Amino acid sequence: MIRLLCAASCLSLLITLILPAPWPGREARGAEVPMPTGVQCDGCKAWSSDPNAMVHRSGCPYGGGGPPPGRDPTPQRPMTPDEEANQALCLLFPLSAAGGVVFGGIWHVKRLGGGFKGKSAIRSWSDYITDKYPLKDKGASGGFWARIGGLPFLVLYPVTWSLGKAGVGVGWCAVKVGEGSAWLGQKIWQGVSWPPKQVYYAFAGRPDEKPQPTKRQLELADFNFRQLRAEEAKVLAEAKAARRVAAEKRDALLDELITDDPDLQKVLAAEGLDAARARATKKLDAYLQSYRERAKIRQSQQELIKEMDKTISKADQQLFEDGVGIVLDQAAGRLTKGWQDQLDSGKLTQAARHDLRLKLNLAKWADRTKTAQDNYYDLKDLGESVKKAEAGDYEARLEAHEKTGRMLIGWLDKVAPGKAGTVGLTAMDAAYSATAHLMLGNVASNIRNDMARLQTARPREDALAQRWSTIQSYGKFAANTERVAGIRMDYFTELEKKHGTSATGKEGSK
Amino acid sequence: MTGLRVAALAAGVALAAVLAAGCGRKHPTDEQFGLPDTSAQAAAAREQALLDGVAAMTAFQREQVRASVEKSAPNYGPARASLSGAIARLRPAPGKIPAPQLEACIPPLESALAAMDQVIAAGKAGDPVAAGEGWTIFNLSTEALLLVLPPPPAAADTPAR
Repeated sequence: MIRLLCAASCLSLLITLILPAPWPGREARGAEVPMPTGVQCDGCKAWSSDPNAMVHRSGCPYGGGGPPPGRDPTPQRPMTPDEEANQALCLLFPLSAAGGVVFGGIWHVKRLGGGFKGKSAIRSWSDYITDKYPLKDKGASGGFWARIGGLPFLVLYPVTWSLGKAGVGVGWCAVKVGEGSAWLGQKIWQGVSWPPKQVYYAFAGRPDEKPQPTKRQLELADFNFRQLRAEEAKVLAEAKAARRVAAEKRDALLDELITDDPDLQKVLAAEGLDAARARATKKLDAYLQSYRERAKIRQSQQELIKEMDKTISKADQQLFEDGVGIVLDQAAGRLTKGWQDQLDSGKLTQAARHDLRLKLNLAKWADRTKTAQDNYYDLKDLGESVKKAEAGDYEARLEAHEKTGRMLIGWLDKVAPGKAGTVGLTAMDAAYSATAHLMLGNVASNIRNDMARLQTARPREDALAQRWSTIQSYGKFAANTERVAGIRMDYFTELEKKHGTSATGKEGSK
Repeated sequence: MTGLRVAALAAGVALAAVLAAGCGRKHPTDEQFGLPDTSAQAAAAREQALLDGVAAMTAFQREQVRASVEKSAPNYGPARASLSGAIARLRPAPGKIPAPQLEACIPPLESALAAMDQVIAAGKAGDPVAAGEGWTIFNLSTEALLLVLPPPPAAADTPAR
């Protein structure tokens, strides 16, 4: 026991002699005579270590009005430097040490992350801590303990730095080794699997190879395109015929104009038919241009009607009867056989053949359906209305105009496919029936519009202009139809040839 | 030993024959190849599309007459949209082979659609002559459709006159 006490005494003595004072106030506390630093006010005897921060007592001639409100007056006895150092130590030690630990850790992480470039580790650590805990502001004790708190991270830094460098190097080596192994494995696998893969490809085809159709599929496609080409050939023939019809109608109108016009007659006699037709074309273009401009200016049909001479011309009535006659004639069953005979004779013009074929198609349809009979009565009623209007005045004709319009609406409503279906038609028959109705509706609607449109200040010229416009539309439509049919025909022919050739060359397939 | 050789040779020849024939290769299905659907349902759907197209054309004409009678602005939008939809249903899907059934009806319907557009544009521009030309093309499209459609079979129930 005695030995133990002696050893402890020696150790404490040794520590006291060898170790430096851990805080600055320790030497002062151990001094024999306290030597307070600072100044004392001559007026009020107040003490302060910092002359600039001295707080004078109330009534002091040097200090003005005493301490600030809420602050105790300066104590009678100033604290000694030792006491101040102890107080600062007690207050700052835990806070500064904890702050040092925190900021030391932050510095450590930042440093490992590549921060503080261009500075050594010690310099950057010192600067960082000093930046957070300046010695001047916090006092020597605070700065000291903050540094002590952060010191372990400075000590730790070489270790972590070395481990990091080694880890990156090891990782890099591991990645490279892995990559190399993968490459080697892939090459080995490719080499090993190449022969069986080629055998499999030869058997089942390559993965990126487009699947080859069977012979049956190619033959079906070939058959399909053959049918399409045959259909399109018919359409193309129709389109060519329609273009010739348009040309015939155009020439007929030009000849009609030449016959009625003395000036054009002179040109015909002097320069021939082509020159007369060219002159007639120019004339019709001028009529159409004039009509177009006036129609644009007037805008409304009502204003056009006001211009008219208050009678329906014979030409309008004839036009109407031509349209109505399509159904009237077939409904009476008089001319159907005659139309077919004419068509079969082969002596008709293209235009006449076209009209007859339309009439025959409609007749075939009308023979089959009940709706055709109803339409007959509707159209007959429509014709009666127009005839009554012809004999009446302006108001009566307007009434007839409106009446025919409403009748036409009812008619179109009646032939709606749903209603056509109620009389026992198939979908195709219903479609055919609706198309036929629509065609007749177009005829009736055009006549109705013409009734209003043709009544202008210049009925002859405007009528010619409208016919010219219509004929030009015929030509445009026929040319476009022929072009489209030609393109489709070429397309189908090419595909038929392609699939036909493929089918022939695939005899070995299933 | 000779027997083994012969057997190996025969097996090799057989394997080569199989490989040459390529009998393990996959072939596309009819749908993948693009062959048209010839089922009754598909045929009925195409017929219905045609019927809808004609109905749209009828609605277009009806709207014109209605607007003229009631002296109001025509609204051709629904009829045009309906015809456009019907044409889309009649057309083959991209990459598919067109079916012969009703394929010839598509161009007249398309020209009717173009005529509708001309009528609508002329109406907006206030050009009645251009609108008239549009109507003429519409009428011609109707005629062309009538000539392309297969006519109904011979009369079985001719109505009394």
